[in-house]
Amino acid sequence: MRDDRNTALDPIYLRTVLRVNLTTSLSYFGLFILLIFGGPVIFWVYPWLATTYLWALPLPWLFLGFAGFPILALMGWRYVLAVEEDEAEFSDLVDAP
Amino acid sequence: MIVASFAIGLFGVRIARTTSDFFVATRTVGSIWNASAISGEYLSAATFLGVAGLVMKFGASAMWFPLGHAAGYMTLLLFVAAPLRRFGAYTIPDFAEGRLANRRLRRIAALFLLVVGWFYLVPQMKGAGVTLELLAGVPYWVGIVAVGLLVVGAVAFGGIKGITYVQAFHFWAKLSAISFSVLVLLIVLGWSSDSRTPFAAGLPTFPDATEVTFSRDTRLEVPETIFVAVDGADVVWPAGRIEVSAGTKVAFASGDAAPSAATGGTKDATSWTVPFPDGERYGLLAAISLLIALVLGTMGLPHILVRLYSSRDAPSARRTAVVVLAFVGFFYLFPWIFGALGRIWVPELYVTGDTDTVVLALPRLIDGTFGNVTSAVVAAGAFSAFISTSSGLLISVAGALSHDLYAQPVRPETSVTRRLWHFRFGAAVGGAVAIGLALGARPFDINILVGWAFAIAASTLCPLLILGIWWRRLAARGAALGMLVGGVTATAAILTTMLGNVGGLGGALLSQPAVVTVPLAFGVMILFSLGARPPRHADRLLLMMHMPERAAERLRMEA
Repeated sequence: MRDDRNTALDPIYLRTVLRVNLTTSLSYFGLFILLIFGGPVIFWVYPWLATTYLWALPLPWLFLGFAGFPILALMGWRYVLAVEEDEAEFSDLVDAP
Repeated sequence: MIVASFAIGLFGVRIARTTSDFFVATRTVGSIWNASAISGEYLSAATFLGVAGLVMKFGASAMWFPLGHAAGYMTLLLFVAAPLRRFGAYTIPDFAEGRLANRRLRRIAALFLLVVGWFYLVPQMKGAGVTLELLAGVPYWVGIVAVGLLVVGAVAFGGIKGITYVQAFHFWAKLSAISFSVLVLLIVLGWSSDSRTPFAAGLPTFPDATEVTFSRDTRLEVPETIFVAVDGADVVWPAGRIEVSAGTKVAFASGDAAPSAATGGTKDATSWTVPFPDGERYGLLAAISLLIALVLGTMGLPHILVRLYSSRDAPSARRTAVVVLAFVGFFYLFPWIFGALGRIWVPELYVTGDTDTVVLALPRLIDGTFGNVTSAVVAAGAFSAFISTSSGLLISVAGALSHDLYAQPVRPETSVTRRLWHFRFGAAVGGAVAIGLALGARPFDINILVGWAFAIAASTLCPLLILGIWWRRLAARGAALGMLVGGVTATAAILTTMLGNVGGLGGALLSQPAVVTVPLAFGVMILFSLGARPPRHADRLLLMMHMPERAAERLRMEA
């Protein structure tokens, strides 16, 4: 597939590409963890929030039943755009002589 | 619905010619279609019936399930979808062997794929059993056997190609069914009964005089003293425990508090409304453990992952995953509303313990043709749910049995026709095991069983995938030990819980083991890989999984 000259470059490419991908994924994962695990922690620490009503629903029901889903989907979509940007940038880098 | 999906499935048989076609749909499916198919396959009896049932029974503390289920697609998207598509393995056992160059690892991965698959298949079958019991009045086991045989037949002779379009159709059918009927229920029945909303103070009470026929021996917890008629004779039921034998007819008066067949009894509004009721010391731990299982388990669901390979390339696998996240999230806006409505409109389900049927029971309260139409729509959605998911799962289970555990190690050189017959035999065996286990699964809530499948997947296949994709030093020995330790501890904890109730911290951890077993599996995998030599080609495989397509092409051209 590749000759030795290129194989020698592999570790450098691998480190670069892994680092870029992992950084992007982990930063979104951090936000995601805050969103998903922040909910239970907040309701545990501040129990009065669980009996606070907004539009006829207690806050946990509003968050877990409605609000969480669009936030997740938007986060996912932002991540896809971010990764596609990373990949285009990296490909340009490789393209450059 | 069944006729339509069966017809499309049969049509697919004519298209499925070669085995690769048969096992994995040839990679020509667009993102939206594929996302519909993944969502269609994913939205199971657990989603369609189970979430509502659990919310009706446990209230806010069951509300982690819908968001956690959807969130699983986020981790799949962030860490797995694109690299795994570039890797090009069809199944997790394929990935295990391909990535770590080890035969035995394929079998270990296949073994846990089976455990996860069966844990997930059983609640689907339970859904079929209770649905047919409610709708057709047949005994519980009849529904299980009938649907089980139907699914085995469809899988053995259809393969996945036929099922892609069926699954996509199933998604839109289920989404229409649930959104339509929620709308109808909110308009016709309303959010409150006698101006009592689901969150109104006190115990759930019968909105009308209600007669309940018990289909099995039941131990009831009576929350406050009520007057009932047992087989026509007036009786006082004092607060406490009451045993009722199968066949008994009990009439409850309007406005009385409903007894409950669940251990712990009926929840009053204060403990039903809040996620952490007073007195549950380990509530936070249980919630976090459950969320870990749901967030990390999705990537280990065999029937979901296999479909990502039908994406054209890695970027479209990623886009597919995000569309699934949106689709599934949109669907989850609805089921819990049934659970909340069930609390005020059909409290008799607390009495029978069949809260899993609340989605089907509610539309039956609506009179006339309109009610019949709504009931039919919901029933069609439920059928779609357990048929689509169980056929997807059974394909993976049959593949693991026939390909990974039998053909690959025992007879690697077999003809295409023989492999097809192995696959069909695998489908029959896998289906029979699921049917057998489901017969005894009646006491368990659908969604609790599914949650356990996630916990096992998160403790075995998830660390294998994540470390395999992101860590070049993962070695076969570490991967094998990690899966075994995580899988055995998680499964043992769950089986202990199934056999009897354990209280306290131990009980909380046994019933939701992921918070311990997932880090354990990761830890063992890492620890036992550090000493070992990473497999050959690890660098090249990781490069292949992470290198963007355009850059990879460019590098090939230079070579």
